Formats: sequence, structure tokens, C-alpha cells
Amino acid sequence: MSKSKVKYSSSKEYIDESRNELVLTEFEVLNAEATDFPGNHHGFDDSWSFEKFKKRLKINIVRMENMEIEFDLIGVDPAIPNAFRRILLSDIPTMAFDKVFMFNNTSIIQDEVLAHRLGLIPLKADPRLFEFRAEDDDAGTPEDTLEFELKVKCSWNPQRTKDHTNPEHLYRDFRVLTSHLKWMPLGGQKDIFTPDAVGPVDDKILIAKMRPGHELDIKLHAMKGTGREHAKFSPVATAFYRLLPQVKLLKEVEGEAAQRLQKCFSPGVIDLVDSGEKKVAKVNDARYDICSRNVFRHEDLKEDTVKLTRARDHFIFYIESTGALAPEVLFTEAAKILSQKCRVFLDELKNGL
Amino acid sequence: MKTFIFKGEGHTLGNAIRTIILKNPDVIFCGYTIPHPSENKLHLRIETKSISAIDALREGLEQLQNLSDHILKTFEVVVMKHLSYI
Repeated sequence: MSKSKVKYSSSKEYIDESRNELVLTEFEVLNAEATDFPGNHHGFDDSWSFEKFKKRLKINIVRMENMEIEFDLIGVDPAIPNAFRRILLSDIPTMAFDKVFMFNNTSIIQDEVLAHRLGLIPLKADPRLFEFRAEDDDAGTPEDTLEFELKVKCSWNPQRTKDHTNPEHLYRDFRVLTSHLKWMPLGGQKDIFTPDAVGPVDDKILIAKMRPGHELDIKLHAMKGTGREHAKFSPVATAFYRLLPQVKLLKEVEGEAAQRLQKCFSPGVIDLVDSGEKKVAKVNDARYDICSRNVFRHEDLKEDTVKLTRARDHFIFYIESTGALAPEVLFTEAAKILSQKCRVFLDELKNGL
Repeated sequence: MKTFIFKGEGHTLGNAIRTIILKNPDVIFCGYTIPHPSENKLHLRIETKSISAIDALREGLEQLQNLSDHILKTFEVVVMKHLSYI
């Protein structure tokens, strides 16, 4: 197999490209390292300027739903979206069950396993309205704790008939769901919150299955925490970004080869357009390409036919919330936290090291 | 030339602050390391030409703070615009 080479007409073209694009070749990704620092490239001013940054920065919202957001973050260094992503995953607090008081558990699921399952239930409570609980405090206060009760007992259905085997018909309350969780307001909490505003995100999450005679009697304390401490506190299902893919056709591809070319990319990336008798391949929209590089498997397509690149400073950011905070709020919180981290250390510098 | 130790910070702040301090033309070298994964410590080393390392760090932190505040402001405006279109 021949290694496909990228050819440049001048060194300026090469430098421009290495600053702006990642090049996907058959066996490697070129220009993965950021080199735009002062002193690296002759003739470029890479020093930091807030004015320059303000001009370069662009944000477009592509899709914004209840639990998900997709937006473009253009004109920043990779370290910035990565900081936001890491903050989203582990630094934004949420409420989750952290203390489980097990008074009775005769189901077949062990206490510790059940406690862990309960911890993972996402809650709707807005973490910004609560404080972190002090480490030596076991009882909790209305400012830092939400108390819930889970009291379920499974029983036989009195109307059951002998020939039935379906558990839905035979038993009562054999499925313990999040809808069984009952909020017990502490102090003045009932004047501030409604049960709907603090409860589980979904009321059909299965917690345990039981049989007649099994019983759960549990008190739960939801507390504020961050994903750094335990993943159950993470406010996102996922938060990730990718660079904008770009596909360039360097020569005309037609007929059967065009169809093969189209199949090498995600649906919608390559269009086949009529040109006289034949179909000719044209790039429609490379945004949702998965950058598979399948095109390099074809001997006739891999040399000087397509150029696959990704824009260095165009980040497509995705946030999927777990339900406590809206995804757009999560991003604003992340930006606030990054800013606050800087402020803490600036104050430290001001007060002397 | 100085090495700063940040307690309770990691790659989140480390890489961001390193990138922005490197954009300062007076800085010769800037790099960070987390010496041990189970110790919550970040070592940030700065070597400078004409300014002191502390000034380079202060400038970097201020720039990162401004950047973050500006992204927040821009994002909020974009969200408001997006909501008003619907």
C-alpha cells in the first residue's frame, strides 16, 4: 500500500494549512498539535489580544431542546472547550441521594446495591438553591438536604385467579418505581418548593422488583455534590465536542466511482448531481460526517481525489443534561465556574503568596 | 522563573492557563504537570524574559477570566436570540 502524501505548492500554503486545519490522511492525522504561539511562525502575530479574540469568537446554536443542546463554538483554542467539558462533567454540582437510612429491606436486592441504585436517580431539584452540607453534619438542615421516604410493600392481588402466571395480575406493587418516592419537606421547604420541582426527573425509573411479603422502608437524604466526588452528581449524561469536518473534492468523480465515493461518507455528505449523461459527485454538507476515512480503501479514489480535513478552531459542542438543569444553563454555569477559578487565584496573588 | 503549585486544581485549569500564558510574547516557557494522580496538586512552571513570572501568571489568569466572561455573555445573547426566533 502506498502512503498517500499531502502536496503543497509553497511553504506558506503549508504553514497556513497547519495553523487552520487538521489533515486526515490514510494512516495519520497531521497538524494535531497547536503551534500558534508567539515565536513559532515568522510573520504571524500569535500574542494574546482580547480584542482579536472578541472578533474571532462566534457561537451559533444549532439545536436546543429540553435535555440536549448542540452549538458551534468558533474561534477558541482547544484548551477552552476542553475546560468547559471537564467542568460540565465534574465541577457543576447537582443534588443526589447520598445518605440512605435502611429501616427494612426484605427484598432480594442487597442494602448496599439498593443504596447505590438510589444514588444514581437523577433529581430535578435546582442545586443553586442549596448549600453544600458540612462534612461533620449527619442530620442535615433544610438549606442543604432534601428528605425522601420510600415505603413499599408487595402483596398478593386478592382478585387473582389460579390459572394466571402474569406478575401484573398476581401481585400488587411488585415493581418499585421512582414514583413511590415521597418527598418529606424539612423546615420551611414546602413553602419554597413543590414536590414536582424537587422529585426524580422521571417517575418510571425501576428501583427494585419484589414478591409478596417483600418490603422496603427507607429514608433518603439528597445532598449537593459534584461529579468529582461521585459520578452520580454529574449534571450531564454526556458533554463532548468535535471539530468541524471538511471534505474537498480535488477532481471530478463520476459514474460508478461517484457512487462508491458517496458510500464512503455518512449520509448527506456527498450528493450525486446530473451532469449530462452521468452522475457527478459533489460535496453537500460535511458537518455530520463521522470522518471514517473509508475512502482511502479504494485505490482509485485515495490519490488526489478527496482531501479530508477538520477546522482547527470550530468546535461542535454537545451537552446532554440529566434533567436537573437545562443544557444551556449548564454551559453558562460552566463558564461562571471557569471564571471563578481564575478569580480565586487572582485574589490569592493580590493578598500575597 | 517560577513553579506555582495550585492545590485542588487539575487539567481543567492547568491546560487552559498554560495555553493562554504561552500566548504572552514575554514568556519563554510555560508548562504544567500533575506530579501524582492521587495528589490534588497542579505544578505550573513559567519562565519569562522581561517580566516576572508572577506578573505573567496574573496576566494569564486575568485573560482567562475575561475570555470566560466574554464567552458567557456571547452565549447568553445567542440563547436569547434563539429563543425569540421560536
